[in-house]
Amino acid sequence: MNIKTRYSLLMLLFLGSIYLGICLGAETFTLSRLFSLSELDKVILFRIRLPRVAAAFITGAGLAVSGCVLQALLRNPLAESYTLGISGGASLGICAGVIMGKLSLIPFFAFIGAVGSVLIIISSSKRRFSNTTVILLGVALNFLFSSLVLFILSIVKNDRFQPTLMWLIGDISYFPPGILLPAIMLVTVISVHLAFSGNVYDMISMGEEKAASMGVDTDMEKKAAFFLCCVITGLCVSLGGIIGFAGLIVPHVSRFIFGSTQRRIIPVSFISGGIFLLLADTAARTLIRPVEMPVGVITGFAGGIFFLSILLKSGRREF
Amino acid sequence: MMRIENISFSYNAGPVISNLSAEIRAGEFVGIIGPNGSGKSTLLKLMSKILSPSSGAMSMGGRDLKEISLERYARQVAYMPSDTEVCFSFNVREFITMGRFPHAGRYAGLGKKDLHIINMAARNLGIEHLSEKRMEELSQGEKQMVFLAQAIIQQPRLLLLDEPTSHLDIGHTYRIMDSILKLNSEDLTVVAVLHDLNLASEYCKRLILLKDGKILRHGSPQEVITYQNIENSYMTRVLVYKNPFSGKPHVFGIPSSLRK
Repeated sequence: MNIKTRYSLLMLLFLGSIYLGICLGAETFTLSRLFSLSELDKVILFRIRLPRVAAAFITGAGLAVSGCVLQALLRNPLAESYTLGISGGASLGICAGVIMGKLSLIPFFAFIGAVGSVLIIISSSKRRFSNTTVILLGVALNFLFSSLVLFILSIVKNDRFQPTLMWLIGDISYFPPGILLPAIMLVTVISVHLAFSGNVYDMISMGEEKAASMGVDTDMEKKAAFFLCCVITGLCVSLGGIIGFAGLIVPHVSRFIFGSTQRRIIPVSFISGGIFLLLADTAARTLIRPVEMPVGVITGFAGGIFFLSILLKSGRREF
Repeated sequence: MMRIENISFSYNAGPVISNLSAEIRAGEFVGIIGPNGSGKSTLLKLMSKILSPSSGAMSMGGRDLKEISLERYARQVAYMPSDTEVCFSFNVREFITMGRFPHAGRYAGLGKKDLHIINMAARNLGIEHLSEKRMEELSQGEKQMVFLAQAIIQQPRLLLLDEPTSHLDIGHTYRIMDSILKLNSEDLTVVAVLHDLNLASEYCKRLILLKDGKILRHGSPQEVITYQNIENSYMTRVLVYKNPFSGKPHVFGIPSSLRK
């Protein structure tokens, strides 16, 4: 199958997933119903369904793109916002924002939390930890942050407790509506920038010294890229809470199908990450209808199985 | 081509290069030899502008290295580290194409001329048949050829090699050194850090023998590879004979049980 066919299939899947995302849910919109909408239908469709579809797509896209870039920057195939604890940091930031009642500033609080985690990771990478150790550090950070979140929410105990908790465990229906449009624009613009800079991340993935000999200012490039990944992660966590593994699985599957250069894999991951989370969210809304699950349940399940199958298949080989 | 005047460099642990001066002339094939920890790799990294000297001056083509941007420098000088860990499964074609980066720039794609350069390098080094293979599927010998191809595609005037034959068997070792020699005869200046003294003696026109970050001797293989020089710098006993075929000096080690 040549590369053009693969791109065409991806586009087909993209359109199909958007169609499914719009149609399926507590209310099913068949094609004929879409063309003869009642007033109530319009409210459901434009106020609830479409924003949710867009939020799911952009969250998945952003997580996958930042996963791609983080893996190259740290030369670590297991890296992503979730496994590194960046999402955890962002969720602690959000929690602080909710307590202070500054809902419109939520993405900013998330960004600050994300930067906190990244600073810890960068300072550890100077000690030449192995890939696995860096991930263990991420796991430790995640535990730390989620305990802090639970601690804060349990001492505050007001009516915002339940929604915030649901939000943070990965549910795309609790975000403050005002942040959706800016989030879509920012994540898209940053992803385009990262994709165009893909060559630079390819150089860095060969090691800092080799990259320097290729003319890359690695220090500056890495700082800029980490900063942008924090912005993306902050926005994604503000929209959908902590969603694990999307940033890990999507880049790997994309590389397997489309090749490994960042310039190609960042745009592909953007689209396929969006598709992945949109389908997962659609499944979360419809599987046990009318009850809705957090999408984190679906991605966690899919991610866990993916992880296990890779670990068992690769045997003793270091991943 | 390159002048190094009185440079020093130290890591936290202490000085690695101290007051070293040398000159690399255009078209030369220079070997840097010396015992472990003598500063060979550090000198190469200083020459590739990955590290900068703490004192002293370096110039390339008459211009101070500090005034040349990293990007511009990369269009003239390629550096091949002793081990590159490839952490994603690039295929060979994708990987060697990355060598065009300093010329293509951050945003630009590849033109016809770039593709021509890539194809030529792959053909000349005999790795065309590997194009579609993934990097992790290659043998060590094939991998080293691919790294060399990537460096050549960078179209440097000066090629810096850090132990290009480490982990290779004798067949692959000579194949890769032959390829490098051929590139050198086509007007590429080469500086290589080599562990294998006999290899350095056979291929290099000039050798620089380092000890403790200083140049102990430099000159032709015949001048540098003598038993006195080698014994002084490597702290062991050796015999030096001529290779009957090439006339170049060859070093034979002597186990301590046979020493008198």
